[in-house]
Amino acid sequence: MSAEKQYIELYNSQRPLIDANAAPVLNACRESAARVLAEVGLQKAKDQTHTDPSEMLAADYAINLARHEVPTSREDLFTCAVPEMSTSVHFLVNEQYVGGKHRDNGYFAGSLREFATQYPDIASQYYNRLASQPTDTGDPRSRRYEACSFGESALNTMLCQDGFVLYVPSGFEVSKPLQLISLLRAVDDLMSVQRLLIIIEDHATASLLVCEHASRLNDLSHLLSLQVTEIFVGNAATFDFYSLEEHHDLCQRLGQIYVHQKAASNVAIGLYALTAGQTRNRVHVCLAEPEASIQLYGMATLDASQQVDNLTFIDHQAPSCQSNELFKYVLDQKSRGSFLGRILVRKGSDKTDAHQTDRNLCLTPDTRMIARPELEIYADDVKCSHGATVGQLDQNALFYMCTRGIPESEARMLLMFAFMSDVIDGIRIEPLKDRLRHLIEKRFRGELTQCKGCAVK
Amino acid sequence: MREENKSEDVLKDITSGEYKYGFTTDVETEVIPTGLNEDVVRLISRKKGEPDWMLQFRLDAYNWWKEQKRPEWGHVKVEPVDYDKISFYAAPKKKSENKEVDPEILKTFDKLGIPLHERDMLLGNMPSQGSGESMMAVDAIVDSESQKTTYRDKLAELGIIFCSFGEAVREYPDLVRQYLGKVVPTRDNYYSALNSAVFSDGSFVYIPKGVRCPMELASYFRINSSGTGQFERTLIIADEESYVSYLEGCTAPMRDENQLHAAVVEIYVHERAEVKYSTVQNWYPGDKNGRGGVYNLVTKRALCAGDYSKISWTQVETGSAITWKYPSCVLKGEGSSGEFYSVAVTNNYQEADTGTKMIHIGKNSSSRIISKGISAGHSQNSYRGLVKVLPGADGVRNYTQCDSLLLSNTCGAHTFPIMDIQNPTAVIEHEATTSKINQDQLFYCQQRGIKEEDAVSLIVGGYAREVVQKLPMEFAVEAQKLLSLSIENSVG
Repeated sequence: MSAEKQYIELYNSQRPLIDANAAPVLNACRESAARVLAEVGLQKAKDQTHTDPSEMLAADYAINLARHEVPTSREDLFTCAVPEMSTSVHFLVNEQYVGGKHRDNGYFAGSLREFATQYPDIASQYYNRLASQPTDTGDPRSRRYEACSFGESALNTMLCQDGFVLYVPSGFEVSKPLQLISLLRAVDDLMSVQRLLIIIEDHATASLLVCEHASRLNDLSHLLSLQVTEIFVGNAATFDFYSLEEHHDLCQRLGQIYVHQKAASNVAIGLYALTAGQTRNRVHVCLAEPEASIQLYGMATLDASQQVDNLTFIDHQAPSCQSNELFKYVLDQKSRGSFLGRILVRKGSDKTDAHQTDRNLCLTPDTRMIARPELEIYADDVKCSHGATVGQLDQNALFYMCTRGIPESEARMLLMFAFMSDVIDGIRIEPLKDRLRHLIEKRFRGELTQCKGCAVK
Repeated sequence: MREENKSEDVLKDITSGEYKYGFTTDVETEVIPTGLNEDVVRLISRKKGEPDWMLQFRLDAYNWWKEQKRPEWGHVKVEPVDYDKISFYAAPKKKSENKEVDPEILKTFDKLGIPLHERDMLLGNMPSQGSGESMMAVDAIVDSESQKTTYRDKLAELGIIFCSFGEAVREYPDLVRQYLGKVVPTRDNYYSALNSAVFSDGSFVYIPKGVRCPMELASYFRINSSGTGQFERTLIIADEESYVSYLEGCTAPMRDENQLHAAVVEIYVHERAEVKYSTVQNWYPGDKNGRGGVYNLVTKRALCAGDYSKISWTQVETGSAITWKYPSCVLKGEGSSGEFYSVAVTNNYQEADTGTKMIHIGKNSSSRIISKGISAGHSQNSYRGLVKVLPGADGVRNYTQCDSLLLSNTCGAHTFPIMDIQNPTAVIEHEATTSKINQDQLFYCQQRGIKEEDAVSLIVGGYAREVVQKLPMEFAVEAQKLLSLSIENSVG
């Protein structure tokens, strides 16, 4: 049976159960999602990345559709992940929102199910607006990109029951960064169908750090996180989104992030994979109105047979928008990485300023890196550039440091750390920056099994 | 001084315009019925008087091809080609049994501006000694047949074989059989398979061990008949420590139909040998509304089989309605090196999807890619490239630069590079920029009294210079002129 069929069958047979444990707004989107999934299927994108979603999703995972209580008390599970950063912390176990301090004065941060029930008008206005259809690029030649991974988004929409919502109304400034700790935890093979909906209205400001963790309760259970994140940013609004991934080798992650930006909005997105099993992130940014800007950062430090694919697509639809992308990988042992970055500048999007950089360090002969930085430009008054490099540590620098009495291993560490530093510099939350520096250093020293401050048990 | 003259030529040419080579030559031509089937393949083979192994080669390719689907991954809009409406073999009839070339064809080559002494050569006269002009041996191919190959005897003294492909099959069957299909196998891709089945003529070059070819070798391709396609095959073999510089030029008459050109070029480079392959491609690009024009769907590949061998591709692409080609380098030998220099200009409704592949297999192999795209009008111009480093290839070095220049707000410029790196000692760099003509430069030129159009021509000339410099002298001048012509009236 092809991968999508088993899920469609599950959906058809369990529809009442799924609906009963979700909100009407979520239920309303399932039927069309099922149709899209049946039509598009789960296919490997034709783009030479390592991940094959159809293969990943072919396994027989349990899905917690009946919403059985996960036997956890969050105090037992977590302590603060990023010390010194006074955050409002929220918790997701698998896809289920298990609490946190929510609805501080004037904004909503909490369960998707609750939000969709309480505010169906707002929820239906935004939910599944970005993830439901492939972008029409306006050029038939670009057809190869169409639809490729909308099957996965449709699968998520079809089965989604809960997740996290951040809703910041017009003009509101959320001063404290929000932190969402998302934990995968199961004794058996489990697929978590997770959904994040973020709505930042006009002139509002917020920042969100998502820490992705996974408990390793035994050495057998495989965990798959199927995530869809939809981010709407209004006029002149500012939003920072950081994702810090510390998964173990039995985890798989298929993440889709959709961003829609209005005029003069400013968004920063950082995807930091410290340890991963097999991860594929797709980031789809639509700069819909003039003078919107996006900073997109990504980093992966991989060893063993870890694998990270990052696919980004920045769609410049309006004039005078800016985008800046920087991705860096350090690949060790048998790890594999790929980066596919695509920038589309549509007709009429003059004064576009788009830059993309991808730099990679391969440390052993068994690593494999694929880089595909692509530009597709249909406007003439633009400044676009991309650069990609794959290489090793600078032997001269290494030699210099050794002659100055620095042990080789330490010198390598320093260079690797320096290599990563500009990705971290992009972070706009100071304590997180420091924390990440610390974590990366520990990662390179091989001391990082888990983020220590955040005692995940 | 020479530079100045060149610029003046460019400026003079810019005032004239359009496609200059769009005339047809009225010669009696033998055309076989249209359509493609096994009998046609057999007929072509019979007409060429080929041995049985050659026929089997064709049939094998044909049988595979007919099972295949047309590839669609390119960033181009190719209308499906109706193979039943194309004649796969057309050849100007020879006037008599003697070796004289039809005077009409001679006139054609005169009009095409092939230098005078070459025309003399076609008539059998030797150029005057000490005339100071550089010598160039030419293989002139009209439609499906090679008309004449010049300087053959002189080259033969050095052991160099330069002849039409058909002759090579007859006279040097062992050599052809040894190398044909070794670099581009018949089942490589849809269009190479089609070519392998129906190719009619082309050039064959063999440079023996240690010989440095004393003159440029050139092929000049021209499609003349309507309702035909051109499927030529070029095979170049550079034996150990040899050197050859090879040029290729192409033109076609203006017609409303889309003519198909599906060529295969194979280059086999032995130890310490070097091949330099230059192309100035100027097929008919279609009219201002995108009607007609040649579909240029070409497979070109070089295999650097020997250690320290070297291949250099230089191409100036100004013609064709559709260009879909990737001259590639398979760098198998240790320390082998591949270079790719390209200027692709698209105007009106032209579409180009071109680039290169560098496959690094040998240790310490190196490659360099410089690609300059210029788009104007409503055209689409894409760079697509692959740099692949296999696990055993230690110490690989690659540098890629692909720049795009946009001259209108209705055109498109795209880059689709892939880097697939499986060895940590590789150092791979890729840089790309896309922008329109620098307004400051333009303003500066205009302020100095240079007209806008001329200023654009100057700036574009400077932009493409890095690539044009790599062309042999004879071609560099022509390429410069072509560049200016192609972008004419496209400013603003």
